[in-house]
Amino acid sequence: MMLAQVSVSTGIIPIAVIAGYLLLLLFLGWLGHHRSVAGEEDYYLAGRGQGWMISTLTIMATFLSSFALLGAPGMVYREGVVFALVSLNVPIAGFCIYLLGKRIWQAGRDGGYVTQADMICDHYQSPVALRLLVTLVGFLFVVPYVMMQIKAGGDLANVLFPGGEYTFEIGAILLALVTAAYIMVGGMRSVAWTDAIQCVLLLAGMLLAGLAMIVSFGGPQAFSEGIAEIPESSLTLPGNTGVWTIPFLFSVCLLMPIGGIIQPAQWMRFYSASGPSALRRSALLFILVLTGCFLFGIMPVGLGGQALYPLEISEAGVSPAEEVGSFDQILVLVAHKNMPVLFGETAGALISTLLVVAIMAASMSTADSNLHALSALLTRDLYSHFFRPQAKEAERVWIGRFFILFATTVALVCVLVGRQPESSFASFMEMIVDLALFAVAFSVQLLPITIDILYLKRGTKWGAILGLTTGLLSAFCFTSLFSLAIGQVPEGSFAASFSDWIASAKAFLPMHAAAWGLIPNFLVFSGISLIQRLLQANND
Amino acid sequence: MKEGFLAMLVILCLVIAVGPGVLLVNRAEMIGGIPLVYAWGIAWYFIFSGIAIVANWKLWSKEDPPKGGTA
Repeated sequence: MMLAQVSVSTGIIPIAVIAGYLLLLLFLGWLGHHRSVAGEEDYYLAGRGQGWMISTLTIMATFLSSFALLGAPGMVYREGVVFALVSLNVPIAGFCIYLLGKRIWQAGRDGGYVTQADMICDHYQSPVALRLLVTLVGFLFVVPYVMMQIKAGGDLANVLFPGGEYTFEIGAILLALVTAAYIMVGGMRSVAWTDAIQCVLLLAGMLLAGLAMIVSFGGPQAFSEGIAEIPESSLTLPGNTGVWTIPFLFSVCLLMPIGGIIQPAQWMRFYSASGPSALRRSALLFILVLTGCFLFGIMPVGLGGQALYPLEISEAGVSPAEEVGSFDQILVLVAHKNMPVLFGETAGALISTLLVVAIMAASMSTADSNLHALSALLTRDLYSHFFRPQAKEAERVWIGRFFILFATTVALVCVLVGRQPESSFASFMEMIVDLALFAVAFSVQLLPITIDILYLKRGTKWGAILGLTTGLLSAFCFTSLFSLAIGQVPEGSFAASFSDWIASAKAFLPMHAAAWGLIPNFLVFSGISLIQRLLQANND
Repeated sequence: MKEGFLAMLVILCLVIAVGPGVLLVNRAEMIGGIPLVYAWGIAWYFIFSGIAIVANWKLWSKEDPPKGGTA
């Protein structure tokens, strides 16, 4: 049924290919700097002139991240076919790119906005409270997302160069440093160019990985026979861990793509597009190409992985086969073991390394976009508003570069400390998909405000402030991080009772934390706005 | 108006594709050599793609600004 698997000595090939790739990124950083015009609008938005091809590729690359090539195959390997349904979140994101993106683009052009907070604060006339809240949302989204990419760098190094004492640390530090370097040098133009290359690499990587898996079984027929033998729980909902109930699946498929599209980095990509037609084409390609890559590239990897390396399912939970080590490493392991058997030692090692480069591309393309957006948030929304309003453009660009280095360091330290076995957050950082779901729980809280600004225009300043605050607090209480943090309080205390209440609510309606935040957010936002409008009408 | 209809259509499709509609296919069976739930996901991919192509062709492309103008 399947080919024999052998370990191969990959020799100099991985080092040469990865070094070449990293040098290419640094060159693009330099080139972006060389082509840039002085000023913030060019550094953050590439002069608002990005064509449809670059816009499409950079939006896709920012959306994908290490989730695409590590987290998603890991989830298919752990849960089974339910991921085919999770993939349907991608078309929702595609529709949002046009329906929300074109209006964000228009408002950005009319108002000269650079960041998300510029537009929101201008609309609600709230220069302090909302600006701080929107910056906080950006921070809560970006840091876990960047952590997830840096962790992927360490995981890859572990698989490629096993046995070293500090291999994970070196991989994570290298990925973080190179990414920070080319954003600091080249700004949005470099980020978009590198994203374009990285997006092509990772889309090819997704399809190649799926194809290689089917070929390694000996063809579609043998592959089909192989996956027919995986556990029944892998072929149905709620998956092997029992998490993917219908309410949870629906809330993730509806809210995760919206959170991924209205996050700060994508918002800035809508501003920087040359026009709505660029976003229209981006939306269409996003739906057709990206969903197809998940369904026909990533799904076979995870399902084939289950047949090749059977899961250990017991009452204690689901564990990967001992040889796999971690769920997220299934694609790398399959590529590393099967490619040389399929294509010969040298070509196999080359293709296997190219897949690893594709994973690095996925990680770096998201990390760079998010770090770049966070730098804009912290510089324009905090530094220039609250600390040095008189700062000139050149100073603000330099401060932005400092924030990129600062945020990269914070994320890197969190990854290095959090992965220590004695850390109480080790389980929180165990899987990439969990970090991704944690991050979007916060960014999606901007949805009521976004819909109101772009379409309804009925909300008020205090409705927006209180709704967003309620949504963020409520979403946090339903995340796994809250459970970990509150798990250490004494029994019988208020915190323990509150924790029990949260657990009961989750059991009653097993929705994602984003939905638990969004419902009170929406109610408070619309309720306060309605009351304020009624009071205003009475006064008039 | 048309945007609202499109958004409603997409959400309705999502409710059927990943909401209660899943109960129609949530069985450990194979169809055409792939698991039934996987085939359901692929079928809905084609439906969403069809909606996007029609929306792009009949709705969105008509909103493009004339060359040299703004939206």
